[in-house]
Amino acid sequence: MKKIIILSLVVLGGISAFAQTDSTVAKTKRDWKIKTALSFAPGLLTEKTYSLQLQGYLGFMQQKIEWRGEAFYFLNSFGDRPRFSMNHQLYMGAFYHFTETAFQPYVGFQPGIALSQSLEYGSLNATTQELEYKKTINPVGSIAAGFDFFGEKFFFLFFETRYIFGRHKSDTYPIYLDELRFSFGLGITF
Amino acid sequence: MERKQLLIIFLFTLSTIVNAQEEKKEYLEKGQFSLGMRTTTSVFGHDGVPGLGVGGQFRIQLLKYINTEWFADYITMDLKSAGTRNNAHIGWSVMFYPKQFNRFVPYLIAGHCFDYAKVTPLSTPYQDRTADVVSRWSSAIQGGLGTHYYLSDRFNLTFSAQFMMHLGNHLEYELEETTSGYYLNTNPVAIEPDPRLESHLLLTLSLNYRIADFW
Repeated sequence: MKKIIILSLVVLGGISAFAQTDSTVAKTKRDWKIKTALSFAPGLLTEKTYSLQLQGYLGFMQQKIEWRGEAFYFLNSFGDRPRFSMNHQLYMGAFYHFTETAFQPYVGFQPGIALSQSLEYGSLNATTQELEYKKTINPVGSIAAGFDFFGEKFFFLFFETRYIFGRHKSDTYPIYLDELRFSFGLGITF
Repeated sequence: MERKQLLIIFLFTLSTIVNAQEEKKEYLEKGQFSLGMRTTTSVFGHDGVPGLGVGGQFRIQLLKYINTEWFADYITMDLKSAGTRNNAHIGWSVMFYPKQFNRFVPYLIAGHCFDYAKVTPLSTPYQDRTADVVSRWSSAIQGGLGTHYYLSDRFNLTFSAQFMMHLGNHLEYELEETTSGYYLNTNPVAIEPDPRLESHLLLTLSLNYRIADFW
């Protein structure tokens, strides 16, 4: 009887060890996915001003971590103080997903750069005697939170909000790039 | 009979060891190669204004306790609305891990970088100060403390604080307080040279992903 118990323990122990190795192997076969999405992203700035951007991203997801590169193409801004004539942005950063189910809330942080141009402040070019509005590249950062809702195959729905911080600096007065931006759309995952 | 029992005990012990090894994770090992993005704040510098920067790095771990980091940063500063300072760093550092605390891995860091700095005074619709732009290349050394925090076996968040000391020529300029705000003076004749080494503190938050194990 004693022998049978010991033998059973050994077999069970061995099986569980190998089962874990097998599941790890199975996991490594397909424990990642690619996500991509395109969306319109409206934003809120101070002084009753709104912006509209076209957003596109490509993400690589493994376990609960998503590594994502993102681009925002500035379309227009409206309201009391539309301060930029250009404000394109590129980001690269990571997101942490709280679950691995169909509904996945997440938070993330992305450093990035903004290619921006002021609509308000120009500087004199002494040679041409004309006002110039310089385009400059400035660092920005973004803290984001949102959720993904995955369908059975290929598609997912997402809603996201992010706070962007940074400053447009050129050869004239600096302007805050701070903005609260929302995005909502349908993406593809495979 | 005894031999059989010994064999059974040996097999059981072995299976327990295998299980234990599955649970225990080594987050940092030699030969690992990772890529990352970083955001940097520069404080306590020449002008008393903070800067915001963006950059990237890769890391190659040479030994169990020694890692290397190769980085590039681009930092901009608003000089009290009187001008802009842009800094670019490209360099490398050596990281030493005295002890690993599971997901937390603190380290000491020291290294060297090349630095480009450019100061652009404010121009207005009535005044063009393009001719007053000053810039220089220099070299710097940096050192400090940091820590990784592993969210998964491949992904880590890293925070570091490093003191950077510039070894090359100063970029001579002064922020002068006037009745209508600050004025950025870049005229070298009017500025008394500062004999001290230029230095500042860099606070860096980075996200890193291990993409390969080379050895």
